[in-house]
Amino acid sequence: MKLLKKKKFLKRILAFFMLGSIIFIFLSNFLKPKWNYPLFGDNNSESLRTFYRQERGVNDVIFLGTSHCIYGISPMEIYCQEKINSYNLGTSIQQIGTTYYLLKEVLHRQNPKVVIMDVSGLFLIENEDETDIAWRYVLDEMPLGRNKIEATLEYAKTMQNQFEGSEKINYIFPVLFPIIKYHDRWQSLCQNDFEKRNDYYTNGYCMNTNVYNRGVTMEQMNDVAQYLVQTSLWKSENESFCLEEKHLYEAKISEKNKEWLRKIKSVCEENGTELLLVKIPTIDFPQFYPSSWTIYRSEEMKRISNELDIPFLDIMYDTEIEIEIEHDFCDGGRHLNYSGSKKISDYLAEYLVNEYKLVSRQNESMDRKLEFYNKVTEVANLQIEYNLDSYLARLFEKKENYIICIAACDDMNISLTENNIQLLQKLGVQLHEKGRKDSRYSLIALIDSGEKIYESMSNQLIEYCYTTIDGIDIAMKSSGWHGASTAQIYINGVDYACNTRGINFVILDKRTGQIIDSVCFDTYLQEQNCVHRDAFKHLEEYRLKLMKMEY
Amino acid sequence: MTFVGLQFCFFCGMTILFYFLFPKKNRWLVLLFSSIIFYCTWSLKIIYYIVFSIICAYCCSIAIYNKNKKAEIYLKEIDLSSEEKKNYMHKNKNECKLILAVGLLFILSALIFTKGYRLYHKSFIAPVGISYYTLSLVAYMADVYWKKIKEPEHNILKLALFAMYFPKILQGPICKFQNISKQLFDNHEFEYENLCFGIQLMLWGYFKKIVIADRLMMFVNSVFDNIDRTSGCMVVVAAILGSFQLYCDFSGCMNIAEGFSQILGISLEKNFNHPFFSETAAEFWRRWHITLGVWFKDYIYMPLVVSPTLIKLSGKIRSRFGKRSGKAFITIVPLSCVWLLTGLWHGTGWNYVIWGCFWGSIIIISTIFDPEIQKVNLLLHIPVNSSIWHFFRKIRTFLLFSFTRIITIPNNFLTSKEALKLIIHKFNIWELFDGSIFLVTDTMNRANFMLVFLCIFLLGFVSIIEEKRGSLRKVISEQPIIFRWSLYYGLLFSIIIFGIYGPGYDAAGFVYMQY
Repeated sequence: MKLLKKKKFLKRILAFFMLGSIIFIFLSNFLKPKWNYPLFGDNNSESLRTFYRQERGVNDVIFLGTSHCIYGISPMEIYCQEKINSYNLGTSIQQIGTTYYLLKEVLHRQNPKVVIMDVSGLFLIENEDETDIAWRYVLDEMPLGRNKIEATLEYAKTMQNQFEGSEKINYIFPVLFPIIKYHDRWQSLCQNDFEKRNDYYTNGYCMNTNVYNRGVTMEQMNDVAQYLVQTSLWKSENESFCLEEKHLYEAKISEKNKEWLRKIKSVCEENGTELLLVKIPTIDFPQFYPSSWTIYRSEEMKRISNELDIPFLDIMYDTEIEIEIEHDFCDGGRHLNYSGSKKISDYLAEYLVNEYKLVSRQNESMDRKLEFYNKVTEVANLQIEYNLDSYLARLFEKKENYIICIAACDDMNISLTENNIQLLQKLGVQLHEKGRKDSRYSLIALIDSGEKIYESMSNQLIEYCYTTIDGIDIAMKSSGWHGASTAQIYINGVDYACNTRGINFVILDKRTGQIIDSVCFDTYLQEQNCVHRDAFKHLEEYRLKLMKMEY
Repeated sequence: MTFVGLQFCFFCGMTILFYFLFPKKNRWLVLLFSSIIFYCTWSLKIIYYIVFSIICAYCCSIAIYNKNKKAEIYLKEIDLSSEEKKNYMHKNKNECKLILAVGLLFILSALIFTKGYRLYHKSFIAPVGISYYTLSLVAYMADVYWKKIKEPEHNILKLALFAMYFPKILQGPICKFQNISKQLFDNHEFEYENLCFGIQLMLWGYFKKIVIADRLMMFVNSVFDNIDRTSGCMVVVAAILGSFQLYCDFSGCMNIAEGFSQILGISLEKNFNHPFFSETAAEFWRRWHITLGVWFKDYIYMPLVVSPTLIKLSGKIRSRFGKRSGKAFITIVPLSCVWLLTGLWHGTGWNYVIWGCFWGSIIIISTIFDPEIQKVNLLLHIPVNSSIWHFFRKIRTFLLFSFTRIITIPNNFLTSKEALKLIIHKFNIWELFDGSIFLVTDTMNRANFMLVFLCIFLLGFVSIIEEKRGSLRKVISEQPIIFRWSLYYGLLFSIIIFGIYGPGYDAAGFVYMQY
């Protein structure tokens, strides 16, 4: 009787612990930050999560590195070009130690022929705020195993070195039980935490279509770097000045990081994998952005690559890819946008075939992803377009899929070319004869699925309202220089127009009902400068909606 | 090692496992061993203090016992006249008194030294729980002297366990030897019910400590640490929340200690009995830190009340100034001593002296002028039996306690003075509604305030049920398994999710641990 009772209690305790463990694991995953859009642009979690769900041995090429790598190399573009299967395992601020353990994970699960590593991580200096988060991006998604344990111990050691008096155990436990670190996220949960997580379709690449140019040229960057690299920090000590060893801009690779690179090389050799070091372009003043790729770092890297006998390809200084500072960066020279990454990816695809003799391998899962990827790039290509003729041609090509809202502001036709007018007319916008000749007119045009719904030109303020079959309310307002100089395009009550001089477009995708682009071409000036508004935001919203519809 | 942390949970688990796996006869050795380990985790250096105190108490009690026994045998064997017997007993008592005095001097000097030394050397590490084990050992020696303990403990290791038993060493309860010794040294069987009830109580303790008290501490400390940048309104809120913080902190620790002991089959004395339901100051202190109040009553108040000198003096006053004056005198003197010592026990700064005097005065005045207060109530036609009046008295006592928190939270009287000035000169009640309260500290935002109020509401709900129906755990145990398990998981995961711990938060020690 007593034994039976004991057994019953034992079973009950066991059941309680098992159910508790299930709830614990669920809550741990739920409270863990997702590091994804819309809160976080780099998609670290989703990228790593998708990598771990991949079949073993599917990737011939793996990319590793910091955010420069995430934004700079698109595996889908490479697959599209040469049918080479690859995965971008770049993570934000990826420290070289983290790269090493990620590489070990890669070699444990995949059998890549080539590993391409962006060298930014070699120059990263550990600091309190960034080191922790950089490791956590990777460790939080890494499944429990030998590599995770080793990486956790390394992480704890690194953190302990930074915070004197702290104990290793305080860093190890929160990795093994992430709820310890993230439990107080209950107060900052957002939509992202409740949404179903799908496989990431870009294979780790982050597509950003914003265009932002700070105007820093490569020459200016290197001039400033020349000064900074020779200047040391001064610090006051006991009323006399002494020189610290730290420079304002560090172009040297530390011994510790060099050691990590040696380890990376040897682990690649052990697995018969080729290692290629690359550098994705980054142009900004080094005093503002220490990861800028100056000539000094390039020279240092070449010296180290010779010393360690690892091939190094400096895409910025040693190739003929024409990276345009005006159009190819999303945040003022620091990270490439879709336009820039396309150039790099196409170049690398060719390079891999020529140098490493990689052969095409058709892959069903990649084909499926590519299909989706192409749908997104269709919008992305529109968003990175800065030539009015090309833009109008693209619109014409897919006019059945779009609702095109056009509103002019201030002065729209001083520099309007014949070609522009022809393309506009092809699209359905006839442009009034008088309005075409005289400047400073208002213009409103609405084209739904290639069919002109409304067009009006005047020298006064004009307004128009329209409701589509799907119930989307559109209200437009335009006024040339004679009026209030305004262009407003309201979609369901929100004004999406750039409202700057020239022709303002707002493009709606009919299938998803999402705004896919808001752009203004300044047709007053001959340069016809173009500004896309909230391009990345529109792209991600479109992508999320499309994903929901297709998966 | 404090009661909060994974290390402590692991330590408890191991102790329970070894306790029930060990041969029944020597299970108390497991408790002694784990208590020593627990104490050593604080610092090996400070273990000398407690060892010294245990040796003193052991030698003193054995010496008193032997002296008394010898005297008993002597009186039995040798035929003496009653006068001679009286003289011999008197002499024996004086000798015992001397031994007790020497023992007390040694033990108390260690306590006074550490408290005094800490005043001037802030970096000095005072032995953990010195106030608690010293009072326990003093009570033990006094009880041996007064023969309340018929036979002192002959095994010094068992006496060491009594003094060092780790669940009670940090914050009490201050147990009497005769109440706990049998339980500590007895052989307990593992019981499923004890395990469930014990874990429930521990979880409730952790909930109070790391979800409520530590969350409130962030706000309270922020207000008093930045007194030059705060307002009177915030001081009032901090004082009120500070009362809940202290209650949850202290009673939470007690629940953890009680819960752990219950798993082993040991029942610790109750230290709290819903003090915020008290209607008078005296009742409040009968419900708050009960074992300390009992200690002061038994070992300070009662000896003073029955001391011949005080009785003689009271008689003189009575004959000269009247009966009431005599009665007042015998009330004022012992209570003043008790409250001055209570204040000093809590801390050696002036704020603690003032705090003790304040509570002493309130209790003395309400005792002496009770007839007048009754008359005023009658005159004003106050319905003293109505529930509104009872509720008013409860709120009044709570506010009184909250007011004294202004004196004790800052640890120095200058800050307390500044806080009181702010209440008078810079008080704007609108700050409660314009969101200023959420800006006091980054960590206490709107969501945290909402959560903490919900928790206080839950605390009040549980307290009301316990006050009316007794043990809530018994009520829970009668419910279906789905309800019970949901409750357990709810409590457990509330602690895990809403607790204040982990990177970004400093592990908070218990407030009463410093005494």
